Amino acid sequence: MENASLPVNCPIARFVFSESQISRQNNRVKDGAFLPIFSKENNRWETSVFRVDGLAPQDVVDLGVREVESKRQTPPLRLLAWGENSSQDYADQKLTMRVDEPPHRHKVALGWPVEKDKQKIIAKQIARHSTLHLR
Amino acid sequence: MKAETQNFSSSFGYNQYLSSRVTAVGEECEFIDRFVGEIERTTANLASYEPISSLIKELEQTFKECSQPGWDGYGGQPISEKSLSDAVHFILACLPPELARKAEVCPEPDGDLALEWIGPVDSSFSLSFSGNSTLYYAGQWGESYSHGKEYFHNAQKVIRFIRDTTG
Repeated sequence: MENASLPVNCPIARFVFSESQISRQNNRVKDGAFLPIFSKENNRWETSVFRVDGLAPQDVVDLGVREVESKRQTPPLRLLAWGENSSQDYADQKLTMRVDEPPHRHKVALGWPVEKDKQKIIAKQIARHSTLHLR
Repeated sequence: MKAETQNFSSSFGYNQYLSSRVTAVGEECEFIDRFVGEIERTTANLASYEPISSLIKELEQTFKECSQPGWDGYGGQPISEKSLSDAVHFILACLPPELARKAEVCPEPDGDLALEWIGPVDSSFSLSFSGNSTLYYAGQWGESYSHGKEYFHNAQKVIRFIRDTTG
């Protein structure tokens, strides 16, 4: 199930747990927060995100705490912020969204190139259009 | 008092004394001026390197904070020592203090450290250190952009990109 299943311009959240991945001074999520990891299990590069359409900011916090923060014990995590984009921002970079539940509302952004510099320019474009929300 | 002065003047050659005293004070002043000037120059040099040392401290702090797998909440790899080493090497060897002052440190999920710069008008630049003396970069200036990789010996190209970004 890919982008077609999402509402047009569906808000997508990338939760951030590392202070170093946000810039409070420049009020932004840094590029590096959007870079993918390589999933050995699925043999692909992917970025984990959540669809947050219809959710108030506190509901988004609750989602991040319930589905990510509380489920990762080592190292202990604390949700600090999230970067919010439109699903179109990912589509513009030729990334596709695939449902990956559970957890509830979880999706993975797929279609990343293998080369690091190409991943960086895509992450930069997503970061450029992202809005920082602090917890 | 006047008599004493006259006596002093006559017995020691007051004008001569005064003249020599002024010269001595002048030499002392010159020495002190030189000494103070040296201190001021040294202090200014140290101050200009403050952004460099601050940035390196921030890198080391980030390295420590992101030393366990999953530090980002998504299975991110620990930041590698080689990446830290390359970043410090680059900063010490290539990065002018005025550009170090504007850099932001960002850990990346593949274990690399990166430096990011935000420009005044919709421009930004990001530089990753992968620990093999290779620099991966991505820059965006309005509607134009560039990305690629460079080696340390060609770091001046990267420095030009950073200058273009920061203005």
